[in-house]
Amino acid sequence: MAKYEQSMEGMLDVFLFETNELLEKLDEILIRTESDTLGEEDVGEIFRIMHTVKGSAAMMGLHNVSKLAHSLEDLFSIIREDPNVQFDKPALYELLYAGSDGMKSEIENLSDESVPLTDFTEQIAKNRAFAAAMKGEAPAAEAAPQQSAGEADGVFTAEDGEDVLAFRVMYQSSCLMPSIRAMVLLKHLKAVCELVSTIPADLDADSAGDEISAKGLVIKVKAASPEAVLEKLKNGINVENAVQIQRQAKKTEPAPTPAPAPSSQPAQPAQSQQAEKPSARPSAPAKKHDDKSGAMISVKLEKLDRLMTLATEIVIAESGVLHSRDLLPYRSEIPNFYKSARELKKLTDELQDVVMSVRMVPVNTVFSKMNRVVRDMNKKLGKNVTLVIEGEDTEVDKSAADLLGDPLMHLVRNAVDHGIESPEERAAAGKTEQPTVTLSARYESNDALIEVRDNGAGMDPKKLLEKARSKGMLEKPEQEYTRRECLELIMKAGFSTNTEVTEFSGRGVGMDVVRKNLEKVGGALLVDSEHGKGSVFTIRVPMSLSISDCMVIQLGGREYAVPVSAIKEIFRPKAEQLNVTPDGRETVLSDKLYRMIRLSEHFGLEGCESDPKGGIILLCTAESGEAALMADGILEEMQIAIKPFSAYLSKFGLKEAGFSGTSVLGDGSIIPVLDVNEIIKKVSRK
Amino acid sequence: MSESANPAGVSSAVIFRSAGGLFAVPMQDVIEINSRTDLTPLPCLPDYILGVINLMGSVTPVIDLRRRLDFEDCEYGPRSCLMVLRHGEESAAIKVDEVLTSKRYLPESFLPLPDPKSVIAGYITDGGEKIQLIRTEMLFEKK
Repeated sequence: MAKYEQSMEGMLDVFLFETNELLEKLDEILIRTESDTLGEEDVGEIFRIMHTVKGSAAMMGLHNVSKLAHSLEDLFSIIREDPNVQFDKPALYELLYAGSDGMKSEIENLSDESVPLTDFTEQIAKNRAFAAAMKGEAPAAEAAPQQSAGEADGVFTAEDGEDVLAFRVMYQSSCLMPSIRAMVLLKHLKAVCELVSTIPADLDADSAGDEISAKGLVIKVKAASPEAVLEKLKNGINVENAVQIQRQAKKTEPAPTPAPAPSSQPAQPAQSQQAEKPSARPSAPAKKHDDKSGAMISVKLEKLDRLMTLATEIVIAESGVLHSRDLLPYRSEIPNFYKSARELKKLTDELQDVVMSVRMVPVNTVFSKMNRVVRDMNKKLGKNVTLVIEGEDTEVDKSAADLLGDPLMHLVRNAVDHGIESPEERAAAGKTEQPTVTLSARYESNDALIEVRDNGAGMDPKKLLEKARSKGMLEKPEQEYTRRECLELIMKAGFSTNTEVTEFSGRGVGMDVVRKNLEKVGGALLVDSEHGKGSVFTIRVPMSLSISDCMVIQLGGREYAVPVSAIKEIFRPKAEQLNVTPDGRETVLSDKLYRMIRLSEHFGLEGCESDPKGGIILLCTAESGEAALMADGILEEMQIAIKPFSAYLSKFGLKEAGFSGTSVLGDGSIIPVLDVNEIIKKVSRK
Repeated sequence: MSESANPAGVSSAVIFRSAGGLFAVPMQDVIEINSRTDLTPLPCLPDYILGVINLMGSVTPVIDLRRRLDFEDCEYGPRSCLMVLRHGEESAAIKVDEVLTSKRYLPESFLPLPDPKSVIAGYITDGGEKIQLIRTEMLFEKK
């Protein structure tokens, strides 16, 4: 039996999508305004979000969510109407976060029938009580059905003799299981009185806890000394207050103390929160995100995928037509054809660009979620970590963004949990700067690089090696492990330097799974660290299947592709341009001297041209520098779709060797694609 | 995965020869067997990876089983072919000397090797020559 209204099934997708968006927006606002001022605009926004969720959830038949949203909406309507109303801000935010989490997880599990609908009654009661407290009323809770005068009469029934005394016990709002506390309390009471009955009568019932939270627990006893009973009740664990209910005198004080947030600390806490998060500015998603400029439409991802594939195939097909061998003999005779062909190429190029950009989303969609993660962890661990976000506007393909979520969460949690030291440890180490975790994103050739950097304890390769040894995880003699390999031990399955497994990380399963998943799509996970200073984890994701303009070159009788974007100039060098220094460094002169890299040597290929004058020079430029690459010859320019290497092939360090992937050409042949940046990088290191 | 239904407990494997020994792979791991020779070598790879081939659009690595198992190199005969294996979502082809037949065997005929990291999962003893059953998963790891 579905958890929502079956007739609304067609609307489910839209409901999920829109509601998730709203809840994300809510979280954003909460994080930004928690330590900052809660402005009128924000209040209105939160109110509207709750209002919308209330309505759409009700339409979907999700009444628990709807009621929860309703309770928060009412709460905010009070603040909206009276901007000067006093309330306990931290307590309010706890309620809001709890509400957001509750709704989020309820929606997440919507299609899973094995997970039952959550009962939000307690939360709703808390929200309503908070609202009532704000209005200065006794929170004669709405959640509790009847709570009216004449309560005293409701307590004493006809059977109760004159000697029956009644007491009402109110529990603190923080008490989670009042019915259990009540049972224990009753046990203690037996020492001073004889128990007659209780309201609610059955403390084992599921609803007992809620009833007690809302209305309090009524205990009817026969006792010699009411004072002794009262004393025992007031000393009960989690008891907020206890009073004796007088008969008929209606001197009852129903719900003597407001259950939740004592409005004794109005807006002041905002200041004390400030002290806790001094420079939280960088992490707070600034209001600059007016991304709703311009009409938006949500599209099914599969349609976009199909569109992408078509655009890619059109470009390849167009290339096939233009470079058809059949045309070769007529090349010089059909200028009009080539004119039209150039027009066609312009259009297909633009088509490809537009389609690609449609699927690109800024990484901020993933980064901003980390704010919440860090905030929650700060609450629990008290390390006061600041999250800094850089390059959040960097765009990646939607599929790449989707797969970044989990690894990032894992890495950020690790950084805060294990990387950053406790305040005492930092002080002892003389670290005065704020503990920070920095998320940054940038492009490098065909990939997007996402870094998670912390200024925490860093890792000691020796310690890691030791740990691996004690776990029997070493695959070769200790001395043979390079520093980098030691650091990478941390990503192996079953490795976890923390002796305690915290609720956030540990268990040593995560990292290697993260790495495998990334490698599956041609990505990578790298680590570097400086003991005492901090660590940096780098996630690399290829910018999905992209078409590049490439130059096909020849090396040792085989063909390779070089992205045109990296090439500045191509020429056959003359003797005067070539120079060799006494220590064997070859250079080529163009506008200046360029270091020459013989690709045949770089890749260890045989049967290649040895004399540069008989070969071809490609002057290339990349992030890691410039160089003159020498090949045997060039063939033609082509549009190809570059596919990253499979997970298996990625294990062999082909990228570092200078290959970004392969491409399958129209005739079915495979051509390796060079990564100019990596080639120059490697040579520069020597 | 064209596998005729096996009665419970019976396993199927494809038997082949490589470097003079008899080997087997679980039937369900075999995608296809072909005699393609249009290999594209890729530089900077260990010598046991001969290169890649285009299998239905997928760039698939070709592993020389002899070299992978550290046997001696020698000329491949006319019956040599490629066996394309699957592991999870990945596939790779192994070059073998000759594919012989398929075989069904019972658990009693199988002697498992205690080392879970070995490329050999165990031995199939069914009269005649001993057959080494390959642990496909380990073929997809570095040597």
